Amino acid sequence: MPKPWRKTWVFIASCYFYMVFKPVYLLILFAIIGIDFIAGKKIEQSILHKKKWLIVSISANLGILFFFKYFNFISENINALFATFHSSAQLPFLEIILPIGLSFHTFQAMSYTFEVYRGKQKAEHHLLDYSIYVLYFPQLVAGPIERPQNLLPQIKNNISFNGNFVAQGLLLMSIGLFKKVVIADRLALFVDPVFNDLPHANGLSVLIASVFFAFEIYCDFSGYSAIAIGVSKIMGIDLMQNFNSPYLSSSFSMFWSRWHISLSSWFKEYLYKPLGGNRKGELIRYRNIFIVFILSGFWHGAKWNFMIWGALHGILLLLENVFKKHFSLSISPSFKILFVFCATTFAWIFFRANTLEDAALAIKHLGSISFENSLPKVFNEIEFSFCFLLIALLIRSEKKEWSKHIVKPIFQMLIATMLFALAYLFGEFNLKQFIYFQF
Amino acid sequence: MIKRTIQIFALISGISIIVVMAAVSYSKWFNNVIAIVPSPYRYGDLYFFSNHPKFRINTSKQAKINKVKPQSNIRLTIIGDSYLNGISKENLIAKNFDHIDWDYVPDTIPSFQSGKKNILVIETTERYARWRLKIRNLVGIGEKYIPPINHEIKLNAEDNIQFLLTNFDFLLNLKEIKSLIYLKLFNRYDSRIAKPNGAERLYLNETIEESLTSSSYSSISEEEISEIINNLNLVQQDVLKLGFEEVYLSIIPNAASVYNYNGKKYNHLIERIQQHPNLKMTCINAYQLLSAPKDNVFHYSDSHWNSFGQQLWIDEINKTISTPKN
Repeated sequence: MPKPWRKTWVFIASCYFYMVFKPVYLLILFAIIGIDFIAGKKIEQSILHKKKWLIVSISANLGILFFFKYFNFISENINALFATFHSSAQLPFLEIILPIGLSFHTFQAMSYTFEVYRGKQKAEHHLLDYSIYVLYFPQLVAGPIERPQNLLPQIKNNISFNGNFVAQGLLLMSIGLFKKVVIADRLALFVDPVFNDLPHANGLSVLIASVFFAFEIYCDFSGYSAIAIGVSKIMGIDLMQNFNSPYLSSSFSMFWSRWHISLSSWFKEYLYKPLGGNRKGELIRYRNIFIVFILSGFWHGAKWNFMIWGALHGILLLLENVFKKHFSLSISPSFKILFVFCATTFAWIFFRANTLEDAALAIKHLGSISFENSLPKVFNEIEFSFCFLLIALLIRSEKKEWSKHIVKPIFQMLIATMLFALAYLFGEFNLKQFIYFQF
Repeated sequence: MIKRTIQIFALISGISIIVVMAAVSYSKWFNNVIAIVPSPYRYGDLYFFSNHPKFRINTSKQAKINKVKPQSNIRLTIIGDSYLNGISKENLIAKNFDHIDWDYVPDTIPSFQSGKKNILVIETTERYARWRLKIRNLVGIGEKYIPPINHEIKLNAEDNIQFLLTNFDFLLNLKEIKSLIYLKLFNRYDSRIAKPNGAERLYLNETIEESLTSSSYSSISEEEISEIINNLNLVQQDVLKLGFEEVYLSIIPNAASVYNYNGKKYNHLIERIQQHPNLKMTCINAYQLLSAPKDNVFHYSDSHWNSFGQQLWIDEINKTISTPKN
């Protein structure tokens, strides 16, 4: 495609991609784009009103996010509070559908105004370029949440076609597809019936389902990220890495530097550091960590489950910091990795359970490992073993970083073809949506 | 110059492919007109669900149509389902023919034409009979009541990425390999079909699964039969009030009722309705028609009858509606 057309084409494709879900919601994105585009320029031009424009931009983004994502949750909780005090007052409940990927693109839009405010990024003067920055379809609905310094210059200069990029992109896409349809969606076949019918589950099935869910959500989300990065790579644009073998982490801080990197770094950059980070003493530092994790949980969804999940991770990180400071034990790395995995898997129970009561029930089942009731009959012995084999292969491949060793385009294409074929033959195509689309 | 020409050609081709594929996905009309994606049911709906290589059987073989001389004084309305596909004025003795799909029941009142002999046939597949025949306002009049349905067949193929990617003939081998891997290795198969178990035909699972009202093998109480009969009698009154002279009921049996799956015990729903002493509606006995012939009247790889079975039924309809009723 001739160079001048490329950006327009990417813009149209991005609009079409978003409109497939609910066309009218594209207006929300246009509103965000319009406000932030103007705010960016005003922040750069103005000296006196810099902060005001930043507040305008952040309020608009958070306002939209709050309205669509959190209004009903807050209404519901305030109404419950009113009911406790026998008040008949009722806040309304809105019949609205959450725009797909809202949390992702509002956060990406906010990172732009933050960076312009800090003077680390020049305000964008080309509306089309800025629109693509927010709308860019590969990462529009589930990240990675990009930074303007990385994405905007590439949008301006790099949308290009190159055989090597295509081979790299296809390899990443095939890995992502394999993770999603062969591993994540297969594990979900076991996980869903257990977590959707916890009263009839037994301890063993909850244990297996929890471990399976840890890998399901990882393969689901990292699979999506790999596809997004791969698609983008084909167009010559490098997106930031979002996962880096998180289950091989030997500490919780390492886990959070490897899991959903684009979000963790967003919170670190725009919340943790402005709150004082680790510069204002230990107590303030612990408070900051806890705030970040509570809000990180809340970012995932308007449910108490997510907040408890976030809080648990906050507590784990605090304990780790305290432990590191006051004790020095030599523990084998393998044991540390296993411990971190077990703790994160436990926290995932809150993430996956449909309600808090369900989460409590799941933990109760775990506490009394019983073999009453059989496991859900979704897999025969061979497929059950196949699931464990897939998990073992996943861990092995991440440890050895196999995909990084394949550098020749011809081999990348061959492996990609093989993975696509295997994804088709062993994949589950049951229309199960990516988990992170809901956020 | 050549480079630019190739670029423009590639661009136009790319856009065309995207536009055409999007149109195929979103427009049934477009799909039918240009037929880029072949019909998923060309080898039968049950083959489409299962991709079992043994059942890749072309279902397009047609029976010889018995030509009839149309009678202009008969106006025939059939409330019917997918079993009526392929039936038109050309097959029927009634020159005036109207088809009301069950999807539009009970919102449609069958139209009546004065000066003609107006006949209504209520045709339903057996698997939905226990639900459909309890609809009180079946012909759009009467007290509004639609019983709850407890089963749903998923025909979401158009949304299915696997379908769009692999519906072409040359990729069916791949689908069949996948199907065999799943069946032989994981003992899994599409939940919409009953496990083949070496049977000579495929069966829709909802016609086998005893817990479902659609099944040929689920139990039915006498009270439920009476409820259906009472409703049919009321529906008949409604139809006659609309001005129709005759109304018929025809329940098309499940293949599982005619051929029997794994020796299970048939619940004889059709006979129990048709032979009920209180039923006032006249029946066109499709169960008897389709059970009698030695030749196969149901597709091996489809939940519907084949054209031979359909022709037997059409002949019976023509005979019934052209015979003066005493």
